[in-house]
Amino acid sequence: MSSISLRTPALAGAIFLSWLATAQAAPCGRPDVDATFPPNDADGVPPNAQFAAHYASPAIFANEAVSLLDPTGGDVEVTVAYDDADSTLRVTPAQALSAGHHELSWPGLRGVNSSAGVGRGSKVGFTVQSALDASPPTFAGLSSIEWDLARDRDPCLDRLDDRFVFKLHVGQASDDSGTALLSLLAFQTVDPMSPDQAEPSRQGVYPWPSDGVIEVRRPATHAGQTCFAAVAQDLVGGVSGGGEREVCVKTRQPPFFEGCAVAAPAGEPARPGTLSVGLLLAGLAGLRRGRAAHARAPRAA
Amino acid sequence: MAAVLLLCVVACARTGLYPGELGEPGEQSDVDLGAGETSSGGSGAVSNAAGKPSGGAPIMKPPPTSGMSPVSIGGMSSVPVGDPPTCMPSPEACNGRDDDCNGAVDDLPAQACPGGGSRFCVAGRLSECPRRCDVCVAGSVRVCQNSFCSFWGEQECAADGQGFGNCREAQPPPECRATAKKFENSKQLEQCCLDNGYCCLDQHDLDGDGDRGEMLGACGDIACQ
Repeated sequence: MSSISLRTPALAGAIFLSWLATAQAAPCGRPDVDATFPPNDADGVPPNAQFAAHYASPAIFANEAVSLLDPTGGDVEVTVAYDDADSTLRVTPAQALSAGHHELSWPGLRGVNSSAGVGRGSKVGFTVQSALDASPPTFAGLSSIEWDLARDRDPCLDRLDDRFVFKLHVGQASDDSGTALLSLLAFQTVDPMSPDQAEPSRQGVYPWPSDGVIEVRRPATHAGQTCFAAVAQDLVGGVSGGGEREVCVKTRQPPFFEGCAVAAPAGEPARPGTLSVGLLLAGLAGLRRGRAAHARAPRAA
Repeated sequence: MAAVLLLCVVACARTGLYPGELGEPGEQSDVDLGAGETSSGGSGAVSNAAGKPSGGAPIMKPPPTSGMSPVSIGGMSSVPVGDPPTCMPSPEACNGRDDDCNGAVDDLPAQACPGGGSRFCVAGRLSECPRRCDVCVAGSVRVCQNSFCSFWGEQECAADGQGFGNCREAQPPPECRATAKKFENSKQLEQCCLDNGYCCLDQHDLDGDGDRGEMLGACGDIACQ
């Protein structure tokens, strides 16, 4: 009886934890708002800013309401446009904003994939300053790169997928509205998956990283030379230089554990370890033969 | 013999390491557990924009030509090295040079794309116009065929839209059941898939373009363009 009373709460706890884990798992393809420009609680937003929200998956905009409230709580007249290629909803105020605290409500949108449902919207507050943003940002470009391999559980496929994780270190930037309001656009300029591709492909638009690092994940199906570059963009659409600086790394295909290979893979020279393994095996064989010979000798006698 | 054996064991322990993998002194050089070139800290082969190696096997592309050295007319050098640098401004172009001599290379506005989004000047050339996903819309499903049981399957797109999962067996819809039973994994079954309004993997190259990895049919909610 006591064992039952102990097990029952444990079982209930396990079920609850299991439910919690399921409830918190990233939904498959749901177009939640995953980044807003400016971010929540931003200061120093220029009065001529344009606003944007990025959705995690392709979405359908059906004229859902977007509300921008000024410091008095009144509605600000805005133009709203959804950019399907960028999965981004953009809001342009009809006139320059007044200084003070504003609130902007981004709507949840329905996913292109019907099973994805409606994503989560976002409500952000920010403070508008009085000075206009007049000049584009300056940016030194990416400064360095690291890579790693991650085995991510895909919520759509419910399986583990190998991904190369590139950590891109971001160089110095400046803007007349401050760097915290900048967005960072990262591009892959050399891709081992499509070595003949001439045009850099965009990997994402990121809020300016406070720690100076962004992560880009790519399928770990093709290894080799991989390069990235990035530019900065401010809230009025000004674009920096710095995109000419590429950071590159050479990835390797998993698995990484090589073990004690006897023969080098085709097309590769034998590594120092290969010879030593051969010697080791030969040595072990010789040792065993010697023991066998010793063992056989008395029998022969 | 024991000495030879010891030598072999020590050498064997190095097997699997590439030259440079151990990194420089002071860097982590733990046994890699699925990471790149080095360690558990996640620092694989690292390179920086100055081209200086910082462990692993760094690779840096040469920096693009600066319009500031030694004399640039639209980015073209024309004065011997050693003279004080000057710059002759010309309209900035996407070419990896500081044509307008403002100290920034390729600081050009974004160019709007016809289908939405913008192109940016990166690495001395314009980026491609963005698409709403890499390979497929996350969570969308296309039809595939397999060579056993029902001969009909489904492939779901990964959450990051970067590829499809495996072809999971499924029951064919009623309108294709007889075709699947009679022709199994075949052109006829793929045609039936198309005729009934599905998005279908072109395993049998029905359009004759040699691409058996593309999708045909009603793929508007699945494809990236």
